Amino acid sequence: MDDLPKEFDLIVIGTGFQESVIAAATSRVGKTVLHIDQNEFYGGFWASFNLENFMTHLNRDTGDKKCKIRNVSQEWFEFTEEKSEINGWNKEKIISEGRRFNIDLIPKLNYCNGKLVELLISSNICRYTEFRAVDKVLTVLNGKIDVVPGSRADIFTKKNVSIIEKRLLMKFITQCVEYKREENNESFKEESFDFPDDGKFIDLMKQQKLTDNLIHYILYAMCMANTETTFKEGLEAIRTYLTSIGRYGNTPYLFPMFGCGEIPQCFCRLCAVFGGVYWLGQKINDIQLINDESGNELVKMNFGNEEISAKKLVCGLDSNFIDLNQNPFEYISRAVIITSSPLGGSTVNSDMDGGGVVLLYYPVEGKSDGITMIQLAHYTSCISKGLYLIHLSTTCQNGAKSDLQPFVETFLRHDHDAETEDDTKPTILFSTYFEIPSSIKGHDYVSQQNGPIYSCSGAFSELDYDESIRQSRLLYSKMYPNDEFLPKAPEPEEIIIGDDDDDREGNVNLGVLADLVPENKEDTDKVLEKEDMNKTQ
Amino acid sequence: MATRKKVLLKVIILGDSSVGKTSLMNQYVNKRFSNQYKATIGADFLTKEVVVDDRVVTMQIWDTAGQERFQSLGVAFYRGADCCVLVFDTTAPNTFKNLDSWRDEFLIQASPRNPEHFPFVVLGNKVDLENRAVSTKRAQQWCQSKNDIPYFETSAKEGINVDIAFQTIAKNALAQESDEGIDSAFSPSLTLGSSSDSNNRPNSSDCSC
Repeated sequence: MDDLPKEFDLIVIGTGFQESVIAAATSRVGKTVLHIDQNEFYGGFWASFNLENFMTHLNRDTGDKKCKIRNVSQEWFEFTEEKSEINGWNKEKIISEGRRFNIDLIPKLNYCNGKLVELLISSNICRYTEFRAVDKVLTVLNGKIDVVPGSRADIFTKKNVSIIEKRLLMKFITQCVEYKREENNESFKEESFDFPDDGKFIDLMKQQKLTDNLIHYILYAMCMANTETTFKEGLEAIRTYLTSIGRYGNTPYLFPMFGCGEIPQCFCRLCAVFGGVYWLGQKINDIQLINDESGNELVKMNFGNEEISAKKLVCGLDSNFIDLNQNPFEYISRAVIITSSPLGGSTVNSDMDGGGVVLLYYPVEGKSDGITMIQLAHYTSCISKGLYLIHLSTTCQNGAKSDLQPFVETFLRHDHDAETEDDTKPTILFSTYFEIPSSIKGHDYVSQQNGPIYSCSGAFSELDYDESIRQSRLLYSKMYPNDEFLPKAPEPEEIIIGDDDDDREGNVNLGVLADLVPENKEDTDKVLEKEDMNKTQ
Repeated sequence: MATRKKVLLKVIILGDSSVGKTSLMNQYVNKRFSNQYKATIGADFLTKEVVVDDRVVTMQIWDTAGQERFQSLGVAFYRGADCCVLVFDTTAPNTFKNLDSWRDEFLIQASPRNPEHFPFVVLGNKVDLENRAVSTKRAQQWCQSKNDIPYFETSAKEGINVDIAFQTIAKNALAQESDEGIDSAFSPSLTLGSSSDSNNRPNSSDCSC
């Protein structure tokens, strides 16, 4: 076994999303990184598991850990002799196939033109994973599940949207896109809405005389918003929606093949490719702050049989080493449900065999965020053919079961009766509920951190990774204000491995890599400038 | 084969640190070798077009990027592999003994549909060195006991047997790929940022609402 270096620029504890982004970014600019996780697996709260490991993980003893998954319950359908299987599935068969499942602790979708996709492409990390376009978006209109028209063609063939409504919708959407884009151009100003930024989006739509039908589609299906959403937020959501649609598929969303647990691992691979050292499943005994000979603060860490020091240390939310008073967290209520027929039955699944990914956002009265439902089928490689993996998420208010009940009781059933005509409600074959720690949107996690020990926030209650990426950028620029954030990695062909011409002992590969590492800060400034411009738009 | 769609084969190379995984792949694709041992830095994956049974296929060979050093390869690395290359150092018996656990690890993590017949290829590397410690017979016996895994003795340094080994790897990977589920052909997954990205983007007239 080769020896582990005793000193690193950075040690990262935990392999959740933000930790992995920071590790990748740091390694990418040529700094030495040791990335460890006390778990045997990647991802922490962001991991995906097969069925068996998923249950083991949820039920494992976490001792006196404060920030952990809580209130876990699980239930199987009671198969009897008369009802020994449903659509060919029973408990034994599901368990025997369970090795192939990839069940996310925190499922997310990615806007085709969103922050994660943008970052994956700009950093060239995109080559480490594959995605699937979400097949359709559903909404609940007048108590019934309905398919949201995705493309322009869909909207025009939709029977329950009148011609006048179609015109209204087009006009409104066009105005949203154009709004303030040409701020200095007087002729456009007249076309613009006369409405305060912090006014409610729903009031704007009412002012523009949109029908209830249209308001529903825009608010819940396109923007995944609620009645409290401001004009500014709504505008941003509708723009992301519009620029994302039609880029890869018929809906504006993507889902990673094999589940969201792949995403942190992609960043870890980039970190490793640039020399980051990975060590999972080692217990950390002790972390201390010491001073080196010149009085600089260093972090000293004992783990396994190693004693290692680093200039900086970053800890993940689940690492046990962060100050939870300074990094407050809340919970996301989660349900994972397995069925053997798709949601909505044949009425919304007539056009396909239900092999894809389906999103439904279900607003809940009296709660600021609704319930997000992501249904996965076998094309995602997350579940076997013929089964459906239904993920439900919402911010935790009264506990997972109670928070998610409005959806479960309306659209799923606990019993099974093959005789009934109504196939819109799938029978729950297996369900588990739990609450998982998440960070609080809008809380300032970064500005008070002055190192050398930094902490990462966890997942946020959002569909995509936007807030997590924003926080990662903030933390990284706090740690390394002069370094660029994840510049594009070269294509594999451009990396020459250990060429004989270069004889500098111990420096061969780094020498090659150094050419690929940006030398100055100019590029970063350009990026930041661009961002500022985007923000002010 | 009914369709002539472009075939991309994913091949992963496993084995203990410093058995020569990166060197083998570098010798095969770039015809280069470096004497200096470094834990893999900068090695990601390399692609090479190969002809197998009159078909041109693209072989993507994935390096461990050093994550095997402390047994920390994540499951994402194993996804969708069409062939797994197991490498040991013929001068280091421990690296040979560990083939068992690398094979098991692959079967657990990748969980291929048909584990009994998943294509492995074993390479005994560094045969140019004199201090040989694992005999050909011993290696062959192990390969036979694991459902007749093809075995090659290679030297990444001298380029011995490297081409022929990878030709076999490509062939077996292609056979595996053809066996895999038809389902994915109907509904392909997307790789972002690649040329298919722009191809998938419809004309602006179609989507600008």
